[in-house]
Amino acid sequence: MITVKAKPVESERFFVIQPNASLTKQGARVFLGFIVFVSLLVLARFLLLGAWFVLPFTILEVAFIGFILHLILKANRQVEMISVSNNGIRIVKLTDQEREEWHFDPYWAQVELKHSPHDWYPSKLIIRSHGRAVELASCLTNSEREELAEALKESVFSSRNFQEHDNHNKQIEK
Amino acid sequence: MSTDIAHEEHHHGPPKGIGRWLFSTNHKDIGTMYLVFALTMLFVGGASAMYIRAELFMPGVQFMEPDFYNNMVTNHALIMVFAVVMPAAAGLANWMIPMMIGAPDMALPRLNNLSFWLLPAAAVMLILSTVVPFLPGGGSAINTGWTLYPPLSIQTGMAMDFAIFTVHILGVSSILASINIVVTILNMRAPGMTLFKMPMFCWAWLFTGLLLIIIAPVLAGGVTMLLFDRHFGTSFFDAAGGGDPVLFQHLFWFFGHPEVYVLLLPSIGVLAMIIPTFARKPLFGYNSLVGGMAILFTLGLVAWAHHQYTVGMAAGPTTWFMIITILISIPVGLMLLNFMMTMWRGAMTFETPMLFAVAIVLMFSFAGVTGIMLAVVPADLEYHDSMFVVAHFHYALIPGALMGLLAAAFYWLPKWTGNMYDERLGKIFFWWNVISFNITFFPQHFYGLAGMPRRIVDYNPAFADLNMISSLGAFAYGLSHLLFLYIVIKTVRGGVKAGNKPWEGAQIGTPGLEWDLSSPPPFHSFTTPPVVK
Repeated sequence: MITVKAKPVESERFFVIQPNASLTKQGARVFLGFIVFVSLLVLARFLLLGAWFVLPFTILEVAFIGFILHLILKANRQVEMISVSNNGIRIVKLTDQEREEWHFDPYWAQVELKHSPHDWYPSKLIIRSHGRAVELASCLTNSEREELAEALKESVFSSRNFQEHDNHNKQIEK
Repeated sequence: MSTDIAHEEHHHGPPKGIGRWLFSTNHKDIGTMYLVFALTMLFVGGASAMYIRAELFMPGVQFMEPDFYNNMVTNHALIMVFAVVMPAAAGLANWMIPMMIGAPDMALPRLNNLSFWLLPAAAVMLILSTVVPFLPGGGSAINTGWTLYPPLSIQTGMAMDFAIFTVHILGVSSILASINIVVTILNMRAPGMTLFKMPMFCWAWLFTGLLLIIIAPVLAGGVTMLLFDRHFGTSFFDAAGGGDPVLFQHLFWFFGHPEVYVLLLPSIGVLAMIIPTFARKPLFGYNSLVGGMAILFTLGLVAWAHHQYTVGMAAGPTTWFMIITILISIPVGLMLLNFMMTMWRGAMTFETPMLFAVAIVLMFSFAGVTGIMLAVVPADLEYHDSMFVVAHFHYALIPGALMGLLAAAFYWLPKWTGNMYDERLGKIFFWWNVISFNITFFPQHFYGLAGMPRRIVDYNPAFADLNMISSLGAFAYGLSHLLFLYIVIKTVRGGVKAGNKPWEGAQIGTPGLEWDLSSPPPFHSFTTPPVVK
């Protein structure tokens, strides 16, 4: 589950995309700790009895759960912020380690939703301009992405109109 | 101020063709596949049960070799446990948990696809294990029962290898499904849906998933050791090589006993949804029911060797396992008391799911009473390996697990299909099913106590009359499921349209979000997180 927000501040629209996450880092630690603790108790007992074949299966399973939790927490921490205004489109992607930022001119930027021919693969939401492309909202479901794409297209279109209107006003003033 | 983007309609429908099912990552499609698989296997497992009862209709060997009879006993158990009840419970979890907690799908949708598609592979492997003994050089049939005890399982033909790999594949499928369900419950809840606001079905599956995660590696280790003893010259369970056959029993039952709760808990979760709905009262003692499940989870992990009283354990451990087993009756009794108190002075109506719920409370209590008898060591030494045990665990598992799943199917069919099922046929099915079940298994208490052993193809002619009654009941019981199949098909094809909330009392007590969705729900459930207040 995700949270998608549009923040209308005059001519600027602001989208925050992040996965809905009810599992905190501490919660994940408690869960994994519990599984490790109980599994170790069970493992210790059967190792003492000589049933050491339980060991590889337990290690595999606990490692797999750890890996899954790592992926989920990593996905939970991703934030994407998109601001669309007459000054441009600004995209910021935040993860634990890095902050990436892109700027596009709304006049030239294209919002594109690429559907996968098969439901096995999710659709892709891309903003591109002048040979540069950024994929957005990969944490959303297909239908959420479709709705976001519509909202982004509408915002980009509005900002273009605003720019045209602005340019027109400036010409009149001259 | 921020506003959510409006989501007015769902224009992303299901893909077409077989690819929809083969590559599906949608929780409802995968849930449907689990349920269809379980229903199909119910008839396969049921066919083996019909063979068993036909064989026992009269004393003497009627149809096939005794080994084939024992093969059918083994297959019946393996299929019913691993290919019917567990997949059906996983199907319910797939369908309902994301909708109940307000999630768009499971946390790991591709893993979900994998965990389902492992099941048909395992089913084919299990069917092969039955076919192999009929082929030249195929060796003997699996004649061990589902417990696969050595040394017999080491001496059996190559069919046993197929059975071992079946258990491996089913184990992997169960672990993946459990991890997915637990992670979905922990990470995908809608804002405001705290753990203690969750519908009880989610709690039941949380404990079920945790149990499976803990016990599955032990079974995997045990059957792998069996495989090594059979083919690679090890002697884990071979006394001649310094091994210990009883060690396998500990490994098996460390898995096998909590497995009983794996089968029971989802149905207990279902009852905790159905009873408040049709009693039109909030669930009595929500927190105590969660606590009861937690105690059941804990005690269930340390009670396994009550299945092995007769192997000659020391007095200390035997006493421990007896006391723990008797203690288990406390949380189970608490749960049943919660259900009865929920019904108490409720404005009850008796639609099919509620009829099943009431019958389950009664018949499962009966299994609890015979369970206490079996928990007591001196008594169990008498009852062990008799038909009394068969009667006990069928009273525990058919009402406690299978009927709970049938009740769930009736309860949620209107939500899944958008159509109401035929209530008249539902009630006919209920009475037919419950009465024939009792005709089948109730007499087994008597001839079990009188000394008829289980897992043996022939029996003393003194038990002939009661066995004949059991068999007639079993045929009627087996046939009743054809009516269930007809009701399901009829409901899927059409019927009176169901509203979003087809039951007047739905959502009483727990804020399950499934009733906020249309019937049938859209392909993608929640595209914005609903907020639970």
